[in-house]
Amino acid sequence: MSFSKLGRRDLLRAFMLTAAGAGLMACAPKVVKETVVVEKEKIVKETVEVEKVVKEAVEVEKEVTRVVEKVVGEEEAPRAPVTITDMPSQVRGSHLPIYKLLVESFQGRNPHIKVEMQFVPDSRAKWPALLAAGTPPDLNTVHDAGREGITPADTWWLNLGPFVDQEDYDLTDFHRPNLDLCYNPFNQNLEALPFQCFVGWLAYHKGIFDAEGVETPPPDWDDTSWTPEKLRETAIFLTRDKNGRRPTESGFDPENIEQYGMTAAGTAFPTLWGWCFGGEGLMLDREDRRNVQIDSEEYIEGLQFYQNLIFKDHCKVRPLQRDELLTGTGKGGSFRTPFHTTRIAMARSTTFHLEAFKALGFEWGIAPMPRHPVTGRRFVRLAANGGAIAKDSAHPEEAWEWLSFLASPEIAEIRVVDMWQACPARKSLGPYFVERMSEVVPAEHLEVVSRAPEFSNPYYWVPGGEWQEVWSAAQQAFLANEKSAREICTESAPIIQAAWDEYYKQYGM
Amino acid sequence: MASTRIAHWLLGTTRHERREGLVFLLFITPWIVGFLVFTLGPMMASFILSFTRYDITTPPVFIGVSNYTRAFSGPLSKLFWHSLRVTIVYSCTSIPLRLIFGFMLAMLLNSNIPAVSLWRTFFYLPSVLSGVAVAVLWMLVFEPYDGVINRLLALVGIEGPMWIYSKEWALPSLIIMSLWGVGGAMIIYLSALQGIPTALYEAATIDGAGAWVRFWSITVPLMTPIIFFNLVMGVIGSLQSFTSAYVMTGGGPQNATLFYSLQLYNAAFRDFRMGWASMLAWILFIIILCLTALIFKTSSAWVYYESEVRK
Repeated sequence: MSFSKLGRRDLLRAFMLTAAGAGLMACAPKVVKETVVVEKEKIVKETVEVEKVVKEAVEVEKEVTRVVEKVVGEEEAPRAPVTITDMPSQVRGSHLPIYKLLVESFQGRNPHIKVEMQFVPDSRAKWPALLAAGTPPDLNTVHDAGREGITPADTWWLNLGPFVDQEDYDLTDFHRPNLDLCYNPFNQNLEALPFQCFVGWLAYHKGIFDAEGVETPPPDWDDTSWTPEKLRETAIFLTRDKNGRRPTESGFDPENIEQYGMTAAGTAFPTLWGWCFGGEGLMLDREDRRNVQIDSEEYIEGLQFYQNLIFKDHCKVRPLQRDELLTGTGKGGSFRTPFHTTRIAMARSTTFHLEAFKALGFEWGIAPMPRHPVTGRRFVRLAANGGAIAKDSAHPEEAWEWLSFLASPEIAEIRVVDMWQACPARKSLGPYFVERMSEVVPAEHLEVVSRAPEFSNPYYWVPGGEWQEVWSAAQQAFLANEKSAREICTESAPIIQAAWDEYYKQYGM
Repeated sequence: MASTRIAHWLLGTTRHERREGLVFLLFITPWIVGFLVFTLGPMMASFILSFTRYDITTPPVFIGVSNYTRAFSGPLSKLFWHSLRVTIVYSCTSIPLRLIFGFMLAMLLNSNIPAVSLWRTFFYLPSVLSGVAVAVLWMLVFEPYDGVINRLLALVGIEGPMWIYSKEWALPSLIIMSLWGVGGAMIIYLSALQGIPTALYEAATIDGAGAWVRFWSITVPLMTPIIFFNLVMGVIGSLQSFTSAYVMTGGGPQNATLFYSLQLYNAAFRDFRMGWASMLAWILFIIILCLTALIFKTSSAWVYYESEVRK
């Protein structure tokens, strides 16, 4: 369009365009405004919604945080450091570095708990003094747990039941005889956790059996042919004097026996024979702790069987001759027994002998103790260790954590074999124990060792007192063949019963 | 008033005496405190406990004289009397032997023999060793099959007994063992012997007294104060014998060496029957007190003090 020739149409066109533009311009803000307003409103609305959501999210987060803090705070909030004391017993020098490692491991997992080990020569003598003073150690190792520190009126130990329930602690992994011992006989509270146990079996000199042409005892706990009478016959057959005669042969010289059929690791345990024959010995009856039943015919029969092995059948080493067989200072070292002299065909043995058996120099085997054909009982005593917490411990929770750590399967592996040369109290450690025992025990006898705890019998709680001197003197007269089983049982029973009755009467029972 | 008299006695009446009295009290106070806290206090506590049943786990329960009556007439009183009998037999045998051996050794070592100082040391040293070490040593000596004594007896064709493993020989073994510590008494005798004026012996010799007369008329009378002292100490010590039986025999075989103190120990620390053990301790205390008093009472008849003037 040229301005020189601007016509009416051009002008109208321009005017229309301008008006349109102006009109648009006039409408646009409104539209924009409205759009903006709408958009704004939309945005605001959305913002409000978002803010609402965010706010809700924040509230939720706060709630979550609060809950998490509550939960986490209960478990992981910095706890005040606590020191607990442990006074184990019968500690040897070789145990000290192991205890050090155990403490470090435990404290690594539980930094707020400091464990102070207190090693004393005789913790059992020190513990009561500390208890009376009100400052007992938090934890103690109890031997024959379930017997120490208990009276009809009270106990030294804390009831562990609440801890077991709270954590749903699995007690089924422990061998039943072991666990039974940890219960207080008067209030049935669990007062200890088992650590390890010592059980017995029969070790035999294979060379003697082979030389005499006698079949060795069966290495099978389920075998019922190995009875006390069979043991006796075998022992008699394997006994020879210096002239080579057996006890059943004419001219046999009982004062000059060269080879014995059997001996015991110690001079005690006649009471177990009485129990094996069906009598209820002083410490072997779990149910009845009030009545002394050593004068029953079965008990007397069992005891007499034992005495006859020594003085009538002459196939068992006499207590005084046992010292003659042992040599060297300290009776030949801690775990030397007459079996080491190669003059014994069979001997009662246990785990801590096995290491020493490596140096025996002759082929040996182990078999279960004989099984009575009528009662089904075996002469296998269980001696068990356990850990218990002092009743008045100032830090029972922390003490429980240390105790359950010590009784745990992982730690029990170390304690059982490396520290104590014992049998595990836990069934789950059976395979590990067998693997370790395979280093010393011939493979065909491993089952004897691994299954022994199942067939073992603990000594249960009995009253303390001077009656023990009476019974000890009676047993010594019995072992010296000065009195028969019937004499010591019938003489001692009423005295011990009177002492027991008096003891219970003091506690109003 | 009594309190005034005591105060005067303790502190005197003059300023100087009072000061001396206070200094005396100041120096003796530590001992008094120690005596009250470590001796008299525990004694009183033990006396009270002897009338209770106390097993440490529960507070003491008062039971009157029950502990005392049961000891003398209860079902186990036989054991109580047995342990008392064992202890008395041990004391009645070992005390005279220790007195005689100690005296004889002192007489021998009071003479002019070569290296007498060495011999005196040699005989004195065993009494310095501690009880448990000595007990362990004697266990080896009394070993029936490898022990020193039986090996020496075997050299002369004698079969030695089972010593501490024999019911008949266990207590005699411990009596023999008690002579091991005779060196302590020997030293005291020796110092007293060297204090006897030689003029007395010279005068007696001039008067024609022989060695035996000089011994009985001069040496023994002048030694009676020392014998008296050793007798009292011997009675107190032997009635409390514990270590040898505890370490070597445990009271056996068949309670042949069940000393009274061992029974007390078992009651307290094996059975945790503190009330019963406290009763046993007080009975022993009374016995020793009575015997000591008796010895003191009779001493005027047989103990001669050089400075004493007899009426």
